[in-house]
Amino acid sequence: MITSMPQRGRRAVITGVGVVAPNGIGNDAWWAATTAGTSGIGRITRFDPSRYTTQFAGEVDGFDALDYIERRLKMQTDRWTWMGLAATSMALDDASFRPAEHDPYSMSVITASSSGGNEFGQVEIQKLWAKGASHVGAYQSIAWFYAATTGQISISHGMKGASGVVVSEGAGGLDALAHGRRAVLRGIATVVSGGVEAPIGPYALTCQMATGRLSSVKDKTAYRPFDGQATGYVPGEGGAILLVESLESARRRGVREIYGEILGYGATHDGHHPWACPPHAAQLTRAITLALRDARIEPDEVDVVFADGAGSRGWDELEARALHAALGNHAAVVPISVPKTMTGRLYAGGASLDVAAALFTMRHGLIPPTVHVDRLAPDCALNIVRTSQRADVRTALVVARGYGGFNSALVLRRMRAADIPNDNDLEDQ
Amino acid sequence: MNEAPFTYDDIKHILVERIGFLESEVPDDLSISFVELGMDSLAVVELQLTLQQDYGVTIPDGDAHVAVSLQEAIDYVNRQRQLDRVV
Repeated sequence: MITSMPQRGRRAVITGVGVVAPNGIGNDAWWAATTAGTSGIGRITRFDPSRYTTQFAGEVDGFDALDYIERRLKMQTDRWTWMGLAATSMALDDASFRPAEHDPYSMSVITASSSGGNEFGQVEIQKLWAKGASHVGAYQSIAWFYAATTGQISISHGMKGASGVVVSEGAGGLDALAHGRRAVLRGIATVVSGGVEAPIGPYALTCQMATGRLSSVKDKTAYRPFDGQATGYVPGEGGAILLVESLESARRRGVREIYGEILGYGATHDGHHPWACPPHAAQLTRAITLALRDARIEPDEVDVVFADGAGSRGWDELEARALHAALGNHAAVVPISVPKTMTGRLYAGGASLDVAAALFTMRHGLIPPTVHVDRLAPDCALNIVRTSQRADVRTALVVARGYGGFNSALVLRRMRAADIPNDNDLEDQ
Repeated sequence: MNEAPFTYDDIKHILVERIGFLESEVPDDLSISFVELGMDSLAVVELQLTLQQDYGVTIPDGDAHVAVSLQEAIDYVNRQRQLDRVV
């Protein structure tokens, strides 16, 4: 039954992951590259970046939409939606979940997007300027707006449960998963969630450069969060789509391998300025504290942190302060990683890719590295993981921020076969 | 503007280049309608826009419909172009 309030006894777990990232297409390729410290950042090849101050980005090379979708759908949609549909297919396969076998109204789609169909939109707007309104293609109306990817996933897989799109930039990848968890607690069986972004084009890059937070360093090591010489961040494309499922549904399907449970979530807003760094870390601290409280865990139960890692001096220091304020003494010792340093910041796709990294870390007992960081800034006294590190990780914290003042934190808990409750432990739906 | 009669090859070209069909997906049977081909109203609008840009045929919204067959569409375009020339 679907209700407006959370139902007692329901739990939201993640049973499928699908990754399209600059350092690997598909879970296996991406995880192998990520744990090896292999970066997908390079000089932009999708267009000539010579006249742009930012010339390096994390591009997904070798991605062919036709490997995943029909030509007709490809022509109606943007590269961002192609990646979303590809990652969705991977996540469904990974979970051995076949939508056609399930009640359409028990399945939802809730993804994050922060800039929509950039490339498609640019082409059509150029036609508008050059030739006039009648030359703008009909598919512009459905290809470039934020909800396009959620909608196309819903249509492609016949998922008709309550769906939506979350627009909170870099925090969106966590906010979408939290919204997915909420849907599951209210009675939805499965939610396709997470986010992807495809913002590497002339128009999209121009929009991003206006913030002043992108690095202008022309080198693949430009993005160095928490480093005393941080120069800004490198943008990237791709992300991760995850299948959020009620534990009950996963058990009924006989799923043997559950990645983990979404145990807690907190979100706050700076309410300070559209793009400037807030003067204090109170709201980011509060997001982390709320997530820990929601998960009913103490700070020292956090085994690894996937940090936001803005890559700019003020923002990095603020995150370090928030981690110290929220985690206390544990902040100086807990392993902290920013695998984004190998992909660039993927906007709405970034945080859900970090969640994928956290889930794989828990499953494989291996924390991926933060690459290219040289000397930590004195005000960032954190245990940044520099090379892949073996660790028994049961609980992970993922932190994400978005332009405009969004702060989100998500707590994930590993769920091994032995952790899956048996029939007697579960309440009836 | 192209003055030659509008033919099956022309509409097939549009369906492949603008709507995204594979060559093999466009049937020889001209009695097939757009909806039977799997096109929705938006695909018909795209077709309408293409006919306007590339063939100079203005099609009132009410005349463009998913139930129209390939033959009806071909005949319509040729008729409209003839009318336009008279005017």
